Amino acid sequence: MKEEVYKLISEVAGEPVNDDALSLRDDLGLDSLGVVTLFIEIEEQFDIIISESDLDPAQLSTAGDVLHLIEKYI
Amino acid sequence: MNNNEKRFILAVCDIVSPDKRKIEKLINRGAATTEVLGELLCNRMGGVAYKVLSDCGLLYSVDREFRNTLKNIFSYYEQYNQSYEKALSSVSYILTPYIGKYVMLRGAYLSPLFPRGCRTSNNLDILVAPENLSEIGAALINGGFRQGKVREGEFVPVHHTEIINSGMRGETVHYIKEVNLPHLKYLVADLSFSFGYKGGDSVKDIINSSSSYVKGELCIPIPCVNDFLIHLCANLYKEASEYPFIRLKRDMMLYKYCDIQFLLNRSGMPDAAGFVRRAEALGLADACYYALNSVYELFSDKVCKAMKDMLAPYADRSVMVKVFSPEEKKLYIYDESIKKRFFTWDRCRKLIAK
Repeated sequence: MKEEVYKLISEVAGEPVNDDALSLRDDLGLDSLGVVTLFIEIEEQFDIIISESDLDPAQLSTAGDVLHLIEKYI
Repeated sequence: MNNNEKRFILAVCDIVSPDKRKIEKLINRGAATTEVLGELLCNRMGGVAYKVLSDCGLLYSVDREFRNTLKNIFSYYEQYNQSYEKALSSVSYILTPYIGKYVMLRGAYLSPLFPRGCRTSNNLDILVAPENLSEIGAALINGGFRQGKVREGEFVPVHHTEIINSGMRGETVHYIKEVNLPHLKYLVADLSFSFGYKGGDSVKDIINSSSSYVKGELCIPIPCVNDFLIHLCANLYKEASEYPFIRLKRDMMLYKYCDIQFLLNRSGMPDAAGFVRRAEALGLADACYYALNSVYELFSDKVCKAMKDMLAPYADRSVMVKVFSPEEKKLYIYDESIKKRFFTWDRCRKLIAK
């Protein structure tokens, strides 16, 4: 699943993703709209609805954080 | 506005210890003017002013139109309060299974606590621990709330994208229920999972040490008095010390100062030492000092003075004049007292860049 998630982040960001620690904002250049787009894509691809309570910007800053979030739902 | 008018405004907004002789003297000096009326209404203090004048037996000492305008506001607030309390009761019923997982803040407690007709609230602030946000949100949805916003008096649902967008800004989309009560078509609930400036464990502490407020059939969980006061102080300080609020003229709404004075005095002398310790632990000693000192300067309230004096050794007193602009990353200062700047229409022009 990791590869699938990284591929998705990479498609939205237009940058290669190969490390959990990559920052969505600083390393991958995702602005607020980009982050929202990413979560919409994730919900569609994995057929999940992310709860408001999981959308904590402080807890979702890296590629690894996104991966952990999806793992929670699947 | 002259000094008599300014003194009159503060005197009729002092619901805790109104000074009848002072108010009467100011009325006799012609202080009950249309400008004063406007100031009272814009600060949501029309209901309090009516109650204070009524309790002092001075309603018929002011001009008819001045009195009638305040009376209309007071009657409107009374009906609004009734509707709000009814809606609040139904929400507390919906959330009964979740007692111990949330508390209600600000207007939800203050509006029923004040004498009827004196304090209204536009919405319902609910504080929840982050891990309970989903279940409490779901309970509201099951109870007839929908996520969205009210535009031009009508409910507008939001797309899931907006829910994600708000979430990533650390906010939640309003939960709204059509209640169709007099003066209250929609009840708007705001779920939040942070308290003042800190989230996480402090929210759990606040919820764990909560108590219940009971009034007739209404029973709502609220933070303990000290936490509630700290929350009000933090909110008041944030708005008074950040440039965008000053630009929007939302930085010094008198009803917020009145809330603090009323709650402090209503609770008797709270556990002042505990208050100071808690404010320090939450990193809010400066904010609380600012708020209490401001309330004292406006209303010369004795309980406020005692509390702010206890807090003074732990607070940076320079906060009284500092304003921060997050956009410009710039510090401004005032060189006027709280009382003087309260009566200044455009406070941005009074700020001096540092």
